[in-house]
Amino acid sequence: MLRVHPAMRGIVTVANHVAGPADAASPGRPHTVHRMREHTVEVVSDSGEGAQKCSQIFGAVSAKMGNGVWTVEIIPAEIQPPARAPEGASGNRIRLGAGQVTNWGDDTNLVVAFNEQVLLARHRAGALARDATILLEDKWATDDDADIRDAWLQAMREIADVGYRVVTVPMEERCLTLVDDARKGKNMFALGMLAFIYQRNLDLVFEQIAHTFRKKSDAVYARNVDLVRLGYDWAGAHLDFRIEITPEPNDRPMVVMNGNEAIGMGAIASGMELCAMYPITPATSVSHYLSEVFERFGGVVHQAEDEIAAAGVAIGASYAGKVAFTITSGPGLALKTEFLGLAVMTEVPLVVVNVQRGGPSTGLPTKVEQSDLLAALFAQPGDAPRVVIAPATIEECFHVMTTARRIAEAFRAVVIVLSDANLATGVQPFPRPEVDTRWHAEPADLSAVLAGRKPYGWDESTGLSRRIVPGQRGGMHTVTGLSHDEGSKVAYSAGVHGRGMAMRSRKIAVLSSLLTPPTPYGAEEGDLLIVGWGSTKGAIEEAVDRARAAGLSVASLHLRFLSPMEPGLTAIFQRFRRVATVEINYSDTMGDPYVTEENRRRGQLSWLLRAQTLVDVDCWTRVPGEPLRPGAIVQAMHDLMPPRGDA
Amino acid sequence: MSSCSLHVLTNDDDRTFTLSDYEGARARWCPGCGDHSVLAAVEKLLSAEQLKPEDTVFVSGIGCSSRFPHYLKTYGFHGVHGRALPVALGIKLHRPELAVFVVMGDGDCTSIGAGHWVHTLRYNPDLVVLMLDNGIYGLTKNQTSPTTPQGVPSNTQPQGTILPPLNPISLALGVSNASFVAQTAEFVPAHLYATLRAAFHHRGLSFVRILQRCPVFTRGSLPRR
Repeated sequence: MLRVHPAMRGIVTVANHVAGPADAASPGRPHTVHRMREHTVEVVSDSGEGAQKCSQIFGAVSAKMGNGVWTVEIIPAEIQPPARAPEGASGNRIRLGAGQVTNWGDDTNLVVAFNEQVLLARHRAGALARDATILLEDKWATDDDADIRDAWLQAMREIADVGYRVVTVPMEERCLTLVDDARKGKNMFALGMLAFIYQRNLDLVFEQIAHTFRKKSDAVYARNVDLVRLGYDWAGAHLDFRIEITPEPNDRPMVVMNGNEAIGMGAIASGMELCAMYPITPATSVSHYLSEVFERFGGVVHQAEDEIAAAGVAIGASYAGKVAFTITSGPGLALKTEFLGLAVMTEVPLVVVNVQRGGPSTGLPTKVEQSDLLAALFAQPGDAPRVVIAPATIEECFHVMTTARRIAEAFRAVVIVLSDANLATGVQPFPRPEVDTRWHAEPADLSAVLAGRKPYGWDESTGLSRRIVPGQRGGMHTVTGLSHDEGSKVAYSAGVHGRGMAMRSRKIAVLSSLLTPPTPYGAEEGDLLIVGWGSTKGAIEEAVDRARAAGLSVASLHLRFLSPMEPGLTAIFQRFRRVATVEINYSDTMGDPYVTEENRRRGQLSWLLRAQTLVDVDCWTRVPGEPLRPGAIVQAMHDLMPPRGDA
Repeated sequence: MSSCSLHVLTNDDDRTFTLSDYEGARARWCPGCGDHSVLAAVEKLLSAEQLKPEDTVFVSGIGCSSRFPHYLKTYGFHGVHGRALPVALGIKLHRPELAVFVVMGDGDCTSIGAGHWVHTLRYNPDLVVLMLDNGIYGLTKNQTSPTTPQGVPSNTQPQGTILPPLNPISLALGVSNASFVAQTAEFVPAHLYATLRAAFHHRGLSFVRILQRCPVFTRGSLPRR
């Protein structure tokens, strides 16, 4: 049954074949159980073959069994890229740990690949450990099409010298015993193999399948369960290893979700009731989640005719009552710019979630980048100060929505939340939040307005004022994007214009005064301080741990507030001999043609920090279209270390 | 029956509102501008319907006509060019009990905001939408708009407007789910008032195109009576 092509000789470990169906309870061959602190697995297929569903279920079950988990989607930009093409590779990487896992790690230890071309994509991306185990669909080796057989041979040659352990698996053949179209079954077969290898609880697997396919028929559920059993039994009969990652004890109830679900859930917890959006990757799935549940909490998702209208609807809703929010990604943020200026000018509170992707323009729609920081702060004609916050973990994606809603309301401000594709699609367990009723927005105050109270009754020292909403008797006024005085009367005089500017700006300074200085991770002082923001926190801190273990005097600082910045940065920076940011955005490298210290275009946070602190903040940035790997950051730390004696 | 009038029926205080209760700042449109007569008709409607000023919102974009909310003593939202409709929709989604009116010009509605116009017609929320159509950009001083009659000279097409104008009525009627589409003119006050009244009492989006003259830039562009 196991076909071995001559070209695979020497690089393929042929699993011993055991005749007859294997019983899961008494697997057909002895296994070596490898006990690990952590292990990283990838499932990759052509788009549409369901590798992502398989991985999501595996990740969720692993989290429920108490393992630390971080998943990252491997996703092509097109819905139906050509079959058997490296650029069409679709799937997930799941990093499992005994304790908490904060990032996607460096190398993959085990791969399930549905064809050799998607495997090549991962090999060429440098994603696989040199000793990785590969479970590879074998049908292509003996395909009727000579081109396909040839492609298989070439692929085997390309990976021959690495040292991978390739185990061929007759996925198609086995699945066809249960289903007519193996493309619709292999993912569950693969899930079954992973369940065997990682000793997953099959009841939990079936529970998760029921949840994932809750909109499908019972027959679909039953077929998927059968396929999982088939994969489990095959693995039991043919593989000679299992992996055990014993979870560290944890008695706190946990939840597991991706960052976009966390944002949607956080929005509900914050008491916001209107989400206006236009479909854009990778932000849209927030609205998928909300569309399913929001009405139960009195909320509504409005899919607008365009990005601009989505901002307008959210502003209109906020103006008339509770703070509303809009979700988007970079190109959408660009379109919303005019309306954001209006919200700043009229001091209508607004929350904007920007799930960043690679830019500029359409860029890398499905891939991570941190390139919208300066746009979030400055993309605006005129001076339009606003608040910018970046959650660093999936748990923070949940809590940031309440923070954003409260700041928007209290400061009558536009609050931009900068998430990214890494957080959006990554799945991680975190302690179940105990929802606090104080998180909820209070209903709009519709009491009569006392004589003399003005729509912009700015407190001179803070710039803060209480808004007046429609329905409040005696408060009638017209808000306007034109320069206006306290009474919202249009006024073009220099005095009035300057005063409005000062009041809107002062609010940002007041917010800054309420923030606490951040705490460095690793050490309070030393040779090198790495500053990061957003989704890179886990990878940076893991790199700090490794580098410190190797003797480097390095620490890191992670910023949540980008506008205004957390206070005390200059003092922290002065305790280190060198400061550098690590970011997923573009910067010139010293030594590039024409690049000088003076004209060098730096990482976006580095640009801001230099301007704000006058400290010579260096940067190490990359735009690989994937999360940063801790190993690469460790290497960067070595490179960034100030030379000995350089004071 | 519209939600607006339902609200009037449940009026729980004994205030009565006269025309002056709705008057805001003195209107600064040019003498002879059609906007004045629309404002007068609207004030008359608000008073006739006894709408509470605090429960009434006028939303506008940018242009001469979009100064409208400033000249009323209701709540007003003077926003950005072409984009009054999304703001009005947001208000109505969150606060359906409010009476929400939208005032736009022809450039606002049929040019820069045309996408919002088509789609808000389709959504059909309970809004009264007035398009004050003088067939020219007035605030920016005499540029051709989508409704400028062919041949009328402007600062951007001095040899005469090249294309035949867009017909807002046929366009609105072409939108599925449009529920009230009307046309009137500022210079026939009784018809204007009756149309506004019918628009107000319609439940759903009422789109009213109001033909106007611009006394400065388009004298003679409308047929003489």
